[in-house]
Amino acid sequence: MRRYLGMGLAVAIAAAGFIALAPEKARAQEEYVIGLTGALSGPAGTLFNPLVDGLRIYFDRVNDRGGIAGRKVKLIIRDSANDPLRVVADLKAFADMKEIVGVVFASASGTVGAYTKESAALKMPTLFLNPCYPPATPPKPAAEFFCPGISSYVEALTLVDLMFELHGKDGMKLGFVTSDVPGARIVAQRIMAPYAEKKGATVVDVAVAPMATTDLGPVVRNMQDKGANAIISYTYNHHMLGAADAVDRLKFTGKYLLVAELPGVLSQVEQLKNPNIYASDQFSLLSEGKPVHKEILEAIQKYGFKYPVADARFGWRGAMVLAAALEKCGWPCTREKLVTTMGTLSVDSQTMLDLNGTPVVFNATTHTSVEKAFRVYHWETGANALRTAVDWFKKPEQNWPSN
Amino acid sequence: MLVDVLVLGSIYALLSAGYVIVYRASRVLNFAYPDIFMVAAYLAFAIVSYAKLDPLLMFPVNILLGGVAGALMYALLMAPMAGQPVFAAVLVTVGLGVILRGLVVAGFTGQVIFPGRSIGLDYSLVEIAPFLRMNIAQIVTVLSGFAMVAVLLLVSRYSRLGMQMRATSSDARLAAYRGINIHAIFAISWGAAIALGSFSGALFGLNAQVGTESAFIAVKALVVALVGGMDSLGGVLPAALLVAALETFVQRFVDPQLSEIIPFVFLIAVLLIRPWGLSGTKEIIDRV
Repeated sequence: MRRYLGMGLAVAIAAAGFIALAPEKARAQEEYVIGLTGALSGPAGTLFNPLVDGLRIYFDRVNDRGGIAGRKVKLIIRDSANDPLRVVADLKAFADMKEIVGVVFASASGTVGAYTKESAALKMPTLFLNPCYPPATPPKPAAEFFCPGISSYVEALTLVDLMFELHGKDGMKLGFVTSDVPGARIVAQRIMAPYAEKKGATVVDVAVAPMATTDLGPVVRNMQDKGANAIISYTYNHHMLGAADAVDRLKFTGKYLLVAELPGVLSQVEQLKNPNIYASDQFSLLSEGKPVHKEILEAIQKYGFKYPVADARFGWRGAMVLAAALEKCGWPCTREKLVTTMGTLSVDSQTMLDLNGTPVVFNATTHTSVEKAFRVYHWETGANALRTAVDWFKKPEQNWPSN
Repeated sequence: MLVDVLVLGSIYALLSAGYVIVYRASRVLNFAYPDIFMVAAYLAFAIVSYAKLDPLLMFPVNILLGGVAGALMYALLMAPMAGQPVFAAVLVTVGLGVILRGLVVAGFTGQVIFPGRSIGLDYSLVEIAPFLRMNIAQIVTVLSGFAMVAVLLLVSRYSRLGMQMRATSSDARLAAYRGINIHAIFAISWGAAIALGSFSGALFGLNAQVGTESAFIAVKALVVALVGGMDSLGGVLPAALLVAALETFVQRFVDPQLSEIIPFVFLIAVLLIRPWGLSGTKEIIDRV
């Protein structure tokens, strides 16, 4: 009797499991499933959590409105802790899940090499959420690796161009504040400083601060003593903001330019309320009130986003590109089809133009956007708000330097 | 440069006094201290903003909360470790530091903040003396830093509590036989140390932006404590000013890249010549 009871129980459990899982499986087959590996914990989490959350609220909104052509988008998120080994493990796990058609990769530059080696082998279509690096950059991008922004190389050059726009051609005595990490230091020393000198500026200093330095006061004071009337910082948030803080405290009268499109910068620039601090940005301001700005603000309100609102823009743009790719890919969308689709993708909707300044266009020679528009904001005391100092300054993508 | 040295030296002095007090009481190096400092810097201004308090109340509130947190830390984490190897207690502090850091990333999203701006501080410079101009944050930091260290020295040397703390530090068992409530002394020591860390976190936030990297200031303060002598409150201020001067000099006139290394180079040099620090007790090192 007990034997039959046991068998009956087992059958009942199996039946219940089948009933519970069957609709889930059926539902899963009707969804676009995207894997996301992100540096969500550890120090890099400060940067990548808002990027991932910006993307998440976009798809929450899309799903609430019926999905893409009637099919919802499901994100399977894994935390890589910015560890190259975990990034690769995540990618392999996603590759094993047959329902996953593509991966969003949100992690720092140090993990890109490990990831892209594996993604090429697995032919996994990937959208990279960060400033763009090889192998997304021209002239020979990896077939499956895409990045909606522009290369950090071109952005570095653009910062110098923008400082010339702000300061004018003559008499620029320029200082650079950077960090003691190869990516930032080499860009400042070997790319930005020579480019600025070639354009006619006198470079008075390239200050390389150790990562642990929090008070950039002595660095900025040193530049003041050397007669700098312009300072550019293109590095980690805490150093860009540390120098901004020092510029403000020391009443630096020249122009200070930093990069504001990544999370955690623009809201803090706003807090400093200093007209001499200029923020180069890849996006329009959410306060402009265009439909895309309203959409983002509504999604923040409805789906929860605990970071400063401006920080949702980067992830939102990535999500717009991914959604456009999935829509173009159609149903059923396979990894191979998505790679092909993304290789010729052009997202030129009005909402993209309103947010991003230019369309996001991938082609055979670049899997970053072929052209990028930059805006510079600064605090306008009269308006008591951030205002545009340089409007949509456009710069085409260039080949990544071989050295 | 003098202003930078005085401000940084004051922060270092307060923080290293915190290390010294805990070490003297329990022979434990508190590796959670950098994260406590960072959390305090975030919390100081969050509490003032959230509760809409007068910014001036930030300091007493922070000291009070730090004191209570320190006493609780002793009661909940350190007292149960009594009788265990000191190494185990040190590991507990390491774990606590990691937890606190995680909480900052979760709670404050790890974003860089400008606490001074959030309370509307005016950074205009005031002429203190010829060639010496300071803003209000710097003046408050230097005056309160020096005053606090002086009070600590006076209490330690001349008060009954100070005497009991020294007695407990010297031989806890003997002190207990003599009727000193050593657990109360340990709790007070931990409370005082964390209150100092908390206070210096608030002061630091007045002078610079606060981020997760701010914790490294308190790591360098451990260098100061070791240079001054781990059991010597008297060595704290000279060592703090010395390390701050070296660091600032290198940052301004040599290479900013070397500024974070130089305190540790100096530490090694000092330890090679005087392993017990500038004014520490030689006997303790000999015993070890």
